Amino acid sequence: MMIAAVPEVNATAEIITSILPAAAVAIPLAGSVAAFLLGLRSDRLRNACVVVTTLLTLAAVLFMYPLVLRGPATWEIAGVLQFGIFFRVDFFSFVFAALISLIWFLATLHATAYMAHEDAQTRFFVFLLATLASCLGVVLAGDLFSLFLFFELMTLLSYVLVIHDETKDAMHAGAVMLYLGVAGGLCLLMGIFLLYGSIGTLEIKPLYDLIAVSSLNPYVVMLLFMVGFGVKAGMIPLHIWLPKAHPVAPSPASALLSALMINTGAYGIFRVVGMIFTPQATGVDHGDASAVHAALEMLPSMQVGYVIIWIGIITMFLGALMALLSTAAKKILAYSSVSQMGYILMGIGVAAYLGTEGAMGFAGALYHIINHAFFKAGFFLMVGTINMVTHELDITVVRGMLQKVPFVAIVFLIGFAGIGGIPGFNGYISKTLLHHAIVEAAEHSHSMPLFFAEKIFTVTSAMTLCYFTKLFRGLFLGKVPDRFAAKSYRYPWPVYAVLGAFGAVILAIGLFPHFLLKLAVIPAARGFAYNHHALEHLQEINVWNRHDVQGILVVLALAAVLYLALDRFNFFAEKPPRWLSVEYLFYLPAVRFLLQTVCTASARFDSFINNTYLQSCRLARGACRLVTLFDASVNEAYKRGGGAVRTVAERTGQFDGALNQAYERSGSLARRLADRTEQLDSALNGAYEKSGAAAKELVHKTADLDEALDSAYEQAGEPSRRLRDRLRGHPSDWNIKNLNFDALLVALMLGLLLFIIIYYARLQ
Amino acid sequence: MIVKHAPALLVAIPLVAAYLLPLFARRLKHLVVPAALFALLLCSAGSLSLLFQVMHTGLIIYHFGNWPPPVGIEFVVDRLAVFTVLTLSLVGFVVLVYSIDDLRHELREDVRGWYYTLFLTLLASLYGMAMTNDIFNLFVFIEISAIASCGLISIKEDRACIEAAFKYLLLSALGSGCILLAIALLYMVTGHLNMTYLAQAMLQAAELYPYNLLASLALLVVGLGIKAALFPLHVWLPDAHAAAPSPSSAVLSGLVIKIYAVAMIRLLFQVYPAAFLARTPVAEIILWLSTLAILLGSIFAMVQEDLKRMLAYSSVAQIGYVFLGVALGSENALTGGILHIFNHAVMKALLFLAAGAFIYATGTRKIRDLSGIGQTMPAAGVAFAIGALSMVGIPLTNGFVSKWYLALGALDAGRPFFTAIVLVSSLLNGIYFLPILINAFFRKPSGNAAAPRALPTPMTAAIVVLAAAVIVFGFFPGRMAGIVVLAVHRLLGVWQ
Repeated sequence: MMIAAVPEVNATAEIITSILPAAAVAIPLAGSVAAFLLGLRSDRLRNACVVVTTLLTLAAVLFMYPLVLRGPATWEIAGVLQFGIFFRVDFFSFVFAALISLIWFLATLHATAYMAHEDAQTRFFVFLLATLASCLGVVLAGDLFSLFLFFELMTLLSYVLVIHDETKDAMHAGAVMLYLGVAGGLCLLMGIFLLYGSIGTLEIKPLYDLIAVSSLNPYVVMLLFMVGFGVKAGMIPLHIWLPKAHPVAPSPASALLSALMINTGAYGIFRVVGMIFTPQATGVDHGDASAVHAALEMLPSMQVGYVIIWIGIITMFLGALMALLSTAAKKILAYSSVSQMGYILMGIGVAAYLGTEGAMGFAGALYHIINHAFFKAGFFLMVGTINMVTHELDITVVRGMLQKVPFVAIVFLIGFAGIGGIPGFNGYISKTLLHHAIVEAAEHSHSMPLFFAEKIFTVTSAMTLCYFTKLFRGLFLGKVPDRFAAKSYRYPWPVYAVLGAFGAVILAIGLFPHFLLKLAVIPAARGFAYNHHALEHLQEINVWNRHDVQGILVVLALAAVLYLALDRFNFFAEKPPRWLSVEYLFYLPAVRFLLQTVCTASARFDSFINNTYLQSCRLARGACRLVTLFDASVNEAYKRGGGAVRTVAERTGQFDGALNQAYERSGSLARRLADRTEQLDSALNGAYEKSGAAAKELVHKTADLDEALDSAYEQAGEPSRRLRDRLRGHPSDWNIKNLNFDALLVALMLGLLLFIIIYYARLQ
Repeated sequence: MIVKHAPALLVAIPLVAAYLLPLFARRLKHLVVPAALFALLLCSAGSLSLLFQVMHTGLIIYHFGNWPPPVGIEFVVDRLAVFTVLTLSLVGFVVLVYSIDDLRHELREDVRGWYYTLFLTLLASLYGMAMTNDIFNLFVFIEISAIASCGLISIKEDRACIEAAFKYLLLSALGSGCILLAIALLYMVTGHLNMTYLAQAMLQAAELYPYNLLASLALLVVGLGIKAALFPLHVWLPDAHAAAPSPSSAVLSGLVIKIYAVAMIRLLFQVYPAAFLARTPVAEIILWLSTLAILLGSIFAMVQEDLKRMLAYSSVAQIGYVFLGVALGSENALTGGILHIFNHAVMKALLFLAAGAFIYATGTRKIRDLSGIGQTMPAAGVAFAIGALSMVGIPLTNGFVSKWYLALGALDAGRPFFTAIVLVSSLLNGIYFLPILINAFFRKPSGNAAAPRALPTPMTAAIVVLAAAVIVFGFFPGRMAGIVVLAVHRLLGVWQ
């Protein structure tokens, strides 16, 4: 009875507790604080501090090597956050961490020269180190929660690197990157919630046994993770931020973004699809491969793997196509990153698709991640080196640099050979492994489409050669334009040292491809559930054979034909039609739709409320007018009534006067008639006079009362009149405008709630 | 001896201080601020002592004047109350420190003394609301707080403030009316005002007089919904919170609306019989209303140009989280919702105070005019950034903690849709907060933002303390979450 290989490996592996992973994250964090403080005083001290920090980080990572050889190294910072921060470093993580810290060190060294004449250097270096910490955190994290934490921080921190120049382009690119990054992070978080909610653990290890018995839909979760990580990895169609953001950043930052940070996305997909969603390796007898195959046929991760293969193929082809059509050097490189990421994704896809047989895909993808990191970082630093003098990188403008910077040109050629997959340079082995992988997948599944995919793979490799030929020809050959001819192309030593180092590494890997395969790639594969056979096969592989070299010769021939043909038809000068871009086809309409919906909705709501106010305002005004009208007519009535009273009173007064006169007359008559009765008469007279005065007084009083009434009514009318006046003003001038609506709302809500509650309450 | 009376003193101290302050303002002007600070310091000490007692004994029951219930008024200090009281003390104290200098430029001198009176009265009523176990007493505190809030809004005496305060006054009177009617309906069928007795009597009343209970439930949801600005009853909030002086906004948005939510939680979980509630769709109604609040609050916030108004709309969205947790009702969700009371209090107070600092220093409240403010006012700018990131729910901030619990709680309740809602709202928050940060840090300072007035130290200190709290409680959520989890256990009856 054979025992499966993987449990063997796991059995020998011990869990080691070590603070080194935490230190590797803490050192750059501390360094960034120190750089900030030193940056307040001196640039040189700060630069020294930054370089030393990256060196220390590299040391901390490399010291983990003896530990991870024995088994995963773990460290837990308990008591913080929800679960603490958990680090777990197996060999796979270690490879990533070593790659990141090494290239970060080289790029930082270059950056000290590159940034010397830029603004806001301290900000750049502080965030450069903090991003390093978060990047390392992603690959060293031991559970998905810690991974998400660092992933999210990385999105935010790298934003500052992208928008460093604060130009309009940079701000736009940064915004696209930030929002897509945050949205991707949320997808990731949703996946994490679903996973945690159903299986209760977030550890990064094979968990499919738990997932299979839970109610979780693995496809949904994997899709969420794929989107979350895919945004970072520049996976089509989530790549749109990448060709915007990578070119606008300062070159050292572009190098790190393009060479390393996108790998964190690949790392995540690796971990989720290749590890978390695979079953714990049981003692399955893999002697009977078909039985195993049948048993594992239904694994969701395999089906997702098939999808990833195709995403990878599409990504690599379209990335290469866009690179062919671009003329800005950094844009070509950025699209090239998208394309190369397609290779890596394809490898991951094959690895997942073939399940335990997928070691070849794994090795190809991981090896290509390493190689791509070296040559892509190298390329960005090379064009950055040219940019330091020219401040311009369009290959139709900047030309003939071979005469000015021959050293850069030579290193560029080495990198070119590397990315082109020429034997003797580093890309050769990884592309060969990937090619083996896709052929294996095609043979394994006997599916026609995958054979077709293999053809696309070959064509894309030829296209890669084409666009790099175009880039090299544009940038280094031809005549130096006058405005760049007079400039001095002298650089400080770190620039030469760093570029030289990249060239040397590319050559070294290319000349001794099996060394790194055995040193790093195969030990990393042992952490995954690949079977013994596949690993053995990998161990014994020799890429120096006729068949593989022939393959690359075919690619070269194809590339030559393609290039000549494209050049002949002046294809390179073509601008891709705008409507072809994913952004135009999908994102812009989506954003526009969203904005329109949001704006329309809020505008509608706003105008609805406004209208309601206006209506209620108008109603209130109408009511007030009615009231005032009524008021006025009452007033009028009273006035009229008062007038009538006055007339009556006046008439009474006249009558009284007439009476008086009549009495006076009759009095005088009587006086004249009877002098004797004078006393009586005068008495009478006095009496009548008195009564007349009283009547007069009564008349006056009535008039007074009338006036008082009048003014009282006028006063009473005053407030309503004032209210009316106020209402007549501008709608914003009055205070109680909203109340009608609000009260209505409350009443409505209350009524609705009562109704719903009573209607739907399930009373017996 | 004094410690034994801590629950009563917590209400009495600020109340007495509030009545003394106008006297001070008349004769001993220089003592007004120290006296207010001293009163709140005593309250903070009192809440800490309550915390220790409750952690020790689990529950404190305080009878006023030694009259036992059902006749006397009873304060019950459980973990929920202690949690709320702590929130009140921390945020209240910091805001008071901030207000000392900020009010100098916002208020006339002769009303400044009154401001502290109103502030302390408000806090006293909030303390009372958090601790009281008597439903009518609760109503009294609600009324006090409504009047005091109104005063705090209208004290600035400009047109917008008075209009907003008037609106708030009328709406909150409507709300109070609903609550009072609900209390009357409950008293009618149970004969009790003490919540413990009420809960017991309701078991029977639910069978005999279900319509009374149903009507009272609807009235309470609407009444407290108005007060807590539950969507669509939030219409008063943006005006009120945007127009008030910044410290008032911080307290109103950070504390006041939350306490009504606490009252709602108490009534729903401790007074109404669970079996009765389960037969009504009230949880579902609150759930959907809070979802609408979360989404639409953010969407309305997006289109605002006035910084404080935007923050006010964001409060509408954030109170939605609290109610979401309440409505989902699973342990994690309720933990998240209640924890968000504290977390949002800290971060929204921080944001309002930082916004107040920008307004103080530059005189502008337009978001557009604040470009480069992060560079010219690094302390306030970074603090604002921390608060904003916490709103978005970036890990390491306390905003993430409550969202974490809420999202998990939605899954526990079997509603993954609401997990997605929580995450989408994070994105929406990002859409309106991140541009402000970008504008503040990565654009050249222009206009007033280029040369801001220097910020007085107490204001800076208050902002920095709150920013530190956001980070500390984000990094070490365990303590607070521990208290809340125990409180939730009591609410859900998992553990007594």
